[in-house]
Amino acid sequence: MSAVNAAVDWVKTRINNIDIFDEHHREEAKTNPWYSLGPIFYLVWFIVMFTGCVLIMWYVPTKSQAFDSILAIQTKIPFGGLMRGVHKYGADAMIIAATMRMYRMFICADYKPGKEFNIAIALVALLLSMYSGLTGYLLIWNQRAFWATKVFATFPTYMDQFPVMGDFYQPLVKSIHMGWNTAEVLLGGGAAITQETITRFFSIHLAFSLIPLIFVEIYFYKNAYKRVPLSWAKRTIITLMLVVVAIVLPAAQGKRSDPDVTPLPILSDWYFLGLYQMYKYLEPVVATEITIILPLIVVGLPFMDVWMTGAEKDINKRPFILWVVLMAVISWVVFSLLIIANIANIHTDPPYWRAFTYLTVNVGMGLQLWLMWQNKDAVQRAKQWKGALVIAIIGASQAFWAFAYYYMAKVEMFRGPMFQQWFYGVVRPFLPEPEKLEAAMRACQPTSTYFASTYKTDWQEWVRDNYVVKGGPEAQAALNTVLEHCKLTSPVDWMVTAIPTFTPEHPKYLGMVDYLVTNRWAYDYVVFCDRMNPLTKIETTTKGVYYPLPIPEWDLTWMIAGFVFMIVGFWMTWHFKSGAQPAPKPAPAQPASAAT
Amino acid sequence: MEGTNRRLILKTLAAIPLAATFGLVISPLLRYMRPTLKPLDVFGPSDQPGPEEDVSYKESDFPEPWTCLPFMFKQKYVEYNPEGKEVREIPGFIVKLPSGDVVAYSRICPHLGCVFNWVPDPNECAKGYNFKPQGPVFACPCHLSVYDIAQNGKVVSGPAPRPPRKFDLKKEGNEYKIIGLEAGSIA
Repeated sequence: MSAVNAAVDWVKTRINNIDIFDEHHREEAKTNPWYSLGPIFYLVWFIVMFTGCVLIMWYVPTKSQAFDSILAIQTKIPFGGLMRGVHKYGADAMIIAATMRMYRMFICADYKPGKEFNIAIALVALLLSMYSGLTGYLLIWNQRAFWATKVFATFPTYMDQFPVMGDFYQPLVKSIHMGWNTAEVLLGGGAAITQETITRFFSIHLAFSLIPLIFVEIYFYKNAYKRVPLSWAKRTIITLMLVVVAIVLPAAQGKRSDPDVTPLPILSDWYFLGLYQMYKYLEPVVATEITIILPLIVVGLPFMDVWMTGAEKDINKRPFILWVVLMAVISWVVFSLLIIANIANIHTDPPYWRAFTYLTVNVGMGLQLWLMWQNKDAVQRAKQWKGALVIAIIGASQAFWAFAYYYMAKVEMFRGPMFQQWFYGVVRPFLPEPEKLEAAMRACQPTSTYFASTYKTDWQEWVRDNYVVKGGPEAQAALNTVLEHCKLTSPVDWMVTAIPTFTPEHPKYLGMVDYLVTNRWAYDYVVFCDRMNPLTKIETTTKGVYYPLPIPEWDLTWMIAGFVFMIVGFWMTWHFKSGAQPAPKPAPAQPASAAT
Repeated sequence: MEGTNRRLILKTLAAIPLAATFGLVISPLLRYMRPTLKPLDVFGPSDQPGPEEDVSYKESDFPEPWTCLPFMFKQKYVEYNPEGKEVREIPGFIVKLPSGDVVAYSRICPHLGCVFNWVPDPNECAKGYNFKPQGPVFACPCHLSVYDIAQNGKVVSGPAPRPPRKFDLKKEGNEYKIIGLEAGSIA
């Protein structure tokens, strides 16, 4: 029970330490202007809501009139253009303020001690402003808005390819169509951007401002905090900045949306541009996963930092965070610039930015380990095993991806087929006459014709309809051999016989062989072996280039670095932990900051 | 300590049926988010669009191999509006291959929904899309996916996960009728 109490205490402390708009940093704000970002965010939020209330009086949220009503606001309504400009630039200012505040929190360690949740709250504020922006600019109903919404609604559909949750293993589990349902919910209950989408986005656009406002006001009222602790001079300067920008650079209107013509280059609002460039480079499932994982990493970073450096607040002593922040800023700026200039070579660029991303973080990890090594204090040294372990785990995951990437790059097979062929390789020794099965599968469909696409039918049917009909009697004989082979039993059948297939004509797997053949796992193995073997001479999509492909040199840097950090990290974990023994009672009551 | 433990267990036991009840109250709200969902069918398939009108072409429309004609196919989307549907025009290409087969593809890129182009000149493709193909291809300007039509729409370059969606074609005499579209894209 004491563990539960400790956990409850831990959460309660962090909830008591919540800080939404820097209201606990009034002392720092006197000397450090970066601590005004929270109040600025709140002030601009009010300006945006005020101008929004004015705009709502003239805006018509219908497909036929939305664009024209914006045009009317811009040209016919007195001060309409100014109101719209302040609304748009105010929204941008909120995102700028929220982003800069996020970076400040990492660099000044505002999440220490016991305030790790504040990063999550700042991130929610940033994401809510971004989604308000996204729902807001569809309302203009111009080309950029329409196509940005299309991309935004299409990428969740890739959740249907996530393992377990999606359609990816459809033979194994009944799909909940999570991706497609998410897209339909976003678009207002259909698979197209229609009037329902405008209605839904309009209501979400209001709700994302008004509902958090209620909670924030209750919080300020309950705790009796000052709302916008800025002098009137500062408030006026910020308001005037928005007004001047709105007059000098009137908010753009763009062209009326046309569902049949894609604009070139396809862009969205500036804060999503970096992600757009990423979608060019990556397999869309991976890009979707990264989009979902990025916020989770941001929420997790303060915890990693606390495990590594305890209560330390000096950024020079927290190189891991410093270099992660640098990596994030540089990647985002460079990716955004690249997509604006429409520069991308999707075949040759990825090794460079992969190496950049991994190696920048690795520099931080290396410096952090070096600082730990320099620490002479016996008590603190003993405590550092946690930090070394975190670095070792990051290194280990990097090494794991390096291992997987080595084979994926050599044979151009993606994670799913790669895992499937690996599983086949593991159970292969238990299967009856695997060589005979593999030879028959090669005869059904030549391995040079393999291409990875999502398929919804059994391999046997797929091959019969696509290859065996053209292959003649030999291919038919080979298919019959495979079908006969599927009926054989093996000692590992128990792993699959309970799995329902949800197909009436084939309700249960006959055994492991049947399972592996039906779901194409066996064929993935055959293709993998043939592609890894240079003697088979399988041609890639480029004429005259054969499998296995070479690994790009730049990728080798991060692949090796991953293994190095894994080994050094685990060794240092062990070193610090075993070094703790001779220390006389590592007093737990004394926090690390007191020792310095 | 003992008392806390017992209370916690009793509280949890009391909370489970309550949570289940309120959970069931929330379930109709799911239909608020997706009104086209049928009652008690949360795991049911999503609404797929269907054809509204056929498009037809004559044999003589394709005088030579690699003739590519753009067309618009009327597709009906299930929507929660008074008509219960919205009709959308899906852009497509119908192509005669050198083998004599005629195929029709949706122009909506299966990657992220842009409308892709017909690029007959391999040099133009090499310049604009990072890839030099063997013959005419479909190529998407947004994220540079290239599809080889001669190989069943195989993705030969770029991030697209699958070939573009195909239209169902029916040959009646010397007439090609486009009667439906493979499901699964956002318009």
